[in-house]
Amino acid sequence: MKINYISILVLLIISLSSCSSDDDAISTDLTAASPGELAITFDNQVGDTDFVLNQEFTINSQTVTLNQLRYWVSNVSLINDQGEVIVIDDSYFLIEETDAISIQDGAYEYPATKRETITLSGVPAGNYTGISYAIGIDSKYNDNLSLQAGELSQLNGMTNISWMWHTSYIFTAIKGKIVNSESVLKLETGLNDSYRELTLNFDQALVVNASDTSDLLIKADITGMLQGVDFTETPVIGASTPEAMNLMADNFQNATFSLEKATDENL
Amino acid sequence: MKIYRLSFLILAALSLGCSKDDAEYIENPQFDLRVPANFSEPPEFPDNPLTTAGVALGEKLFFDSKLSGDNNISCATCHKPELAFSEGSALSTKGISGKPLLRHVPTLINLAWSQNGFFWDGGSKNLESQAFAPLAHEDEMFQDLQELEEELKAELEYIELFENAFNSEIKINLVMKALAQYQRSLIFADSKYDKYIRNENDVELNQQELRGYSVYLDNCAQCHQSDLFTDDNYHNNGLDATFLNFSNDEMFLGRYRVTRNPDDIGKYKTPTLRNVAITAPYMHDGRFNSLKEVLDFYNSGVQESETLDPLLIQNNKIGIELNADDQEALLAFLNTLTDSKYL
Repeated sequence: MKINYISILVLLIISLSSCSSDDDAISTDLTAASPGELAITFDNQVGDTDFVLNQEFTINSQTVTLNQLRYWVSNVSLINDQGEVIVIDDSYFLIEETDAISIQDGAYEYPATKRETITLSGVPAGNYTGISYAIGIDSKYNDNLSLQAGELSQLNGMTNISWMWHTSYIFTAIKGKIVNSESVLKLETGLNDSYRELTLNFDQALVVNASDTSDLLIKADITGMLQGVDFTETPVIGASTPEAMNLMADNFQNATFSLEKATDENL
Repeated sequence: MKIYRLSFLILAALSLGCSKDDAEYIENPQFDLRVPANFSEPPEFPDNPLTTAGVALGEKLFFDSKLSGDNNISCATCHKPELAFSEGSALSTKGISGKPLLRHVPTLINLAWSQNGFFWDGGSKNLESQAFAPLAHEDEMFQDLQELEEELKAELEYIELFENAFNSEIKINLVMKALAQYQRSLIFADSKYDKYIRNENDVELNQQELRGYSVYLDNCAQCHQSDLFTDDNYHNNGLDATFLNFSNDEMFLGRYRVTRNPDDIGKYKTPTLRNVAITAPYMHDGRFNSLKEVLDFYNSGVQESETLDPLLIQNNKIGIELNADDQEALLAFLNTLTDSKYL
């Protein structure tokens, strides 16, 4: 991940020490801000069982195996106990557990990947009471694939360059098969109407400061993502099944994420 | 509720830093888009402003066959300058798979003024994103985007051109930006009609052409609005009576598959009439081989359906009825819209 301001702060410190004689005062100011690190883990589960690729799970009364679970987490902001909202700029993160993926009809291969933790550096010290984020990509970036921010990329198979010829991002992708029928499951959301924001509140304030990394553990329940989805009726969900896509987008907003644990190691 | 943005820190940091001349700065003046007097001001593109170096890089990329998977075809293979950047066949088979495409190759004319979606159904919202589709599609250029980045990086000249245009190393999104800049620089506005309408060099339309101009104003101008000769919008012009073919991701349902709005079934983008005399065949699937066929279609072939544009129903009659003399005159006028600048 990239958070530019951190490198700029580093540059600032370097440049101040190289060109200014009274850097002490400003350095003290910076120390007073003493930003910390926050690691956010999205723990993918099926109900209360840890999700494993290609393992049989019963979802919606059907036995399925999944070889791909990917979703964009974007526009993260943190809420502190003063009611202030700290917006994390350029926060576009791809959370994924996937086998190797053939991209562009086999033109190349994206390697098998498991990635469930994002680390935010330079988070201002404070007591945080909640986090907001979105699933999907906001219209500014979704409408223009040539704009670059965070982890947005045209090279990882999460763009629709031929899907309906809507040149935009795939927001979420769940792929696998129904075990009994061998029927393929390809459940995707995308297009601006599927963008959803949500907020999780913490029971207890989470302290962030310079002395240690604080951790957020967020449960992502796949049964929630797929709640009400009829695998027999719509084994393929995408732009041509707008109702099913809307249902899944709503599920990501309302039925998927819950706070498992917020810990600051500094206690 | 207060909202802080961490980007403020960047500004603060930058303003506190001591000033220093940036030796890396490369001169790259804004590209001077020549706005014809009979056109409106084009929209601005704040995310991708036209620069001299950007347009030049885009032009080189547009004609470079390295952009395709097998390094045999370039954008210009199907967007030929001599055909106002169209291709000449109904459904091109020049892509890597050799399979005929499902839609007719459009012209690239005055795209700097085009703001309402690209492709015949508007499935792409800007030229930058649009470029990904033909580049990646298996029946078109079928390029591995990662490989393209590497191929371009292997050339010193490209490294320099990207540096000049974007002050950056080579990245795939910058390829799209450069291609968009080049396409926006293509201005067609020096036809006989343009010179007449701008009172340049005493150019006059003859009687036949003037009669055709008046036929155009009475019958065509509502969709093919002057002076871009397109309203940049989507219409069902009555090519088909039914829309029952749902194959190929609903490709044959027109703009409906993009908007999911039943009112948009059978609608396609109005193509410009500029250079129309040299850009046969016609329609989104290239079904008509000549302008005469097109006029005959509007005269007696327009099919009724729920989404047929109301403009094509006049006095309870479907279509645009023109007598032979008016047709001749209209064809003469359409021939005055040819600008041979890039041909």
